[in-house]
Amino acid sequence: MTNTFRNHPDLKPLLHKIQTSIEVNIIHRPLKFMEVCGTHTVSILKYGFRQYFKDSIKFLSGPGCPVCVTSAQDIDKIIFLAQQGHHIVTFGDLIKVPGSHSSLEKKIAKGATVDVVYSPLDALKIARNTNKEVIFIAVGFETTIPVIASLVLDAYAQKLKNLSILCLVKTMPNVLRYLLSHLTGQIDGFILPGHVSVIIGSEPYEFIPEEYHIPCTIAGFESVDLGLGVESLVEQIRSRSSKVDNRYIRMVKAEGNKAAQVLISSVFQESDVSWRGFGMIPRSGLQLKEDFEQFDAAQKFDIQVDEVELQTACICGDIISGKRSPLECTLFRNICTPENPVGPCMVSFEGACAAYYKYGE
Amino acid sequence: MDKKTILLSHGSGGKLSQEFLELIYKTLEDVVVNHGEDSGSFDADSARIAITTDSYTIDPIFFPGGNIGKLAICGTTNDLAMVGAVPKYITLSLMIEEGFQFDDLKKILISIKQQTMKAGVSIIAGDTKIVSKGKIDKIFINTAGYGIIQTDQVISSKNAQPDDAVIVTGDIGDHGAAIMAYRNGFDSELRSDCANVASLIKALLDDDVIIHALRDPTRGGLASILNEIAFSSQVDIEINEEALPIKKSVTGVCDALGIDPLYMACEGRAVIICPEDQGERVLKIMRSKTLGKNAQCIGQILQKTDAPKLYLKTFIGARRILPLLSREQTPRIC
Repeated sequence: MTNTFRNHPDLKPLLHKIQTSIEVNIIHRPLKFMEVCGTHTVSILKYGFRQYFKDSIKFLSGPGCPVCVTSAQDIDKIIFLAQQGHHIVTFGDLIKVPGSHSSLEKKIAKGATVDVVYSPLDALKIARNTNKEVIFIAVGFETTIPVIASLVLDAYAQKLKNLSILCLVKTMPNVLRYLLSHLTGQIDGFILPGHVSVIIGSEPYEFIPEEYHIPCTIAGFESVDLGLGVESLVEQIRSRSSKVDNRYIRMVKAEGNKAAQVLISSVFQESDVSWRGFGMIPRSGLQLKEDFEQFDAAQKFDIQVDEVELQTACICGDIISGKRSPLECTLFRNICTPENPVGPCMVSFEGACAAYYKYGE
Repeated sequence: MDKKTILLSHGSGGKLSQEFLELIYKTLEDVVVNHGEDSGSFDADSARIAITTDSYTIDPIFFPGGNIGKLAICGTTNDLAMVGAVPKYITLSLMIEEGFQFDDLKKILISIKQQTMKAGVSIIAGDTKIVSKGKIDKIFINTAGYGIIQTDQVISSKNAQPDDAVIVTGDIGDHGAAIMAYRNGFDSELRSDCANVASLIKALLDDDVIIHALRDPTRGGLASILNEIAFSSQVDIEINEEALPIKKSVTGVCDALGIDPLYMACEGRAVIICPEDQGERVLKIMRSKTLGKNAQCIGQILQKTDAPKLYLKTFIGARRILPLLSREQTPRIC
């Protein structure tokens, strides 16, 4: 199988050139690059980048897996709604995430009505064909939010009374600002999320090189994309410069996707939200605007969950802030496995722990 | 396990399935004589007989490239072929939900007839059950298959040897990707590879090719089946990413959904483990048939080991483990 962006004849020479450049020009090693997005974590492990650069680059996983950053209390809210007999519509990855005492998967086995969908818009069809209250669990970043906005607008246009969303969506730039202001270790470069950048563009990240002087690259997800992204960071370090270098130009424009941005802002407004591992971060999420409050499950239903602080040795919070790797977690692979996930990073296929586990790290 | 509830993941073909099957094997250990092969076998007066059984449930029941009826006959005859048997008879049991359409049943029965004639098998016994609305999902099919083993060779998942070649008879992941694309409303030309591979295996055995192990990579896909062979034979296996035959359209669907084609079900493929010096013959015979025209040698069996692993050599020359997944893959969110 040949693929222009996956198995290009120039890929191996490019990686060799990067490796040589690090060895010849850069004294401080291993370099620490944070891949913000969970899909990048998967790609880095899947294509063998972590192994290829094992002595020269340490890849750190950032807070870019939407499941991993969903708090236990938010999972408890979903389970509460399912237990009330409502029809839950969700993405598959959320099914197994442990809340403080159970998971949606266990509730399904006990009779909860849960539909796993790929597109949020599937919730419309489900709502039209049932008398039950249908609740779409809205998780994700800017990539997913425009479609969730479309769902709300369609529900509004169709005057659907039995559809609402539990809004748990989060946004990208401000969590990076939070991360950088609380940083304890060194990050030499950021591999910025490709799919999110398609929507928001490259401009919102400019504060990283300007205020923190850290090189950034926007990269795609194929091996060639990653190679070009890593090359950009190494080149910036070598030349002692820093910028947001867009290496995903076939998909990402500096200004992003204006139509998607308008769609988002027509339905949602900024809000302070709680992230697993970080706590409350100002203006790092979205909530429905007043015009659409009738579709807000949090307002529509009296959701009663306890404030529970999970007491486990799980270090998912440290993992998504780049402080530690899954391999440093005492639970990893012995107590915490994909079959018995303790923390959310082991649940989602985009989670750092699940990716490390799957790819045999 | 005994205190827990059975979850859908226990039927995914991954790690949780293994735990689940362990309970069954352990409880029935004094009466079970087959462990981990697609069909069981026994010696009769003048022949070695293979028997298999399977149940079929799929959503949607009609999909691009087939339907549940075609799937049931191909799946059953393929399981017989995986122990070197020529399929002869099958049984057919239909469990149908109240409200199911006669027209749909007729379409499924026509497919069943076409596939049995194609495979040269006869239906020797059958049963029907109509179940109250909501008690099952549309239609379930259960079959048993009976075949005569046409070789004296020991073809078994326990029989992979160091230096053996690993060959697949065609493109990987078509069935799983076609179903995923269809379910998610993708505009895709992908079709299930659902087919009877018994004729391919018969051609190899008729030519006296030496075969050590055969499996059809259905639930859990190629990576799960190779993990099972590695575990049963206590060997490491390495496959080469550059050699894997995967359609661009399958890669496209899998990339869009964030799932790995190596774990996607195939319903018309076989994995052949044979001595290295038989590899070229196998490929020549396979490629002479329409169903095997894209056959590829994708890797090899490495050394014996107490801790078997399946490795993938990636495009960039790195090596990583392909584990047994714990559950079905789900589409990524972002």
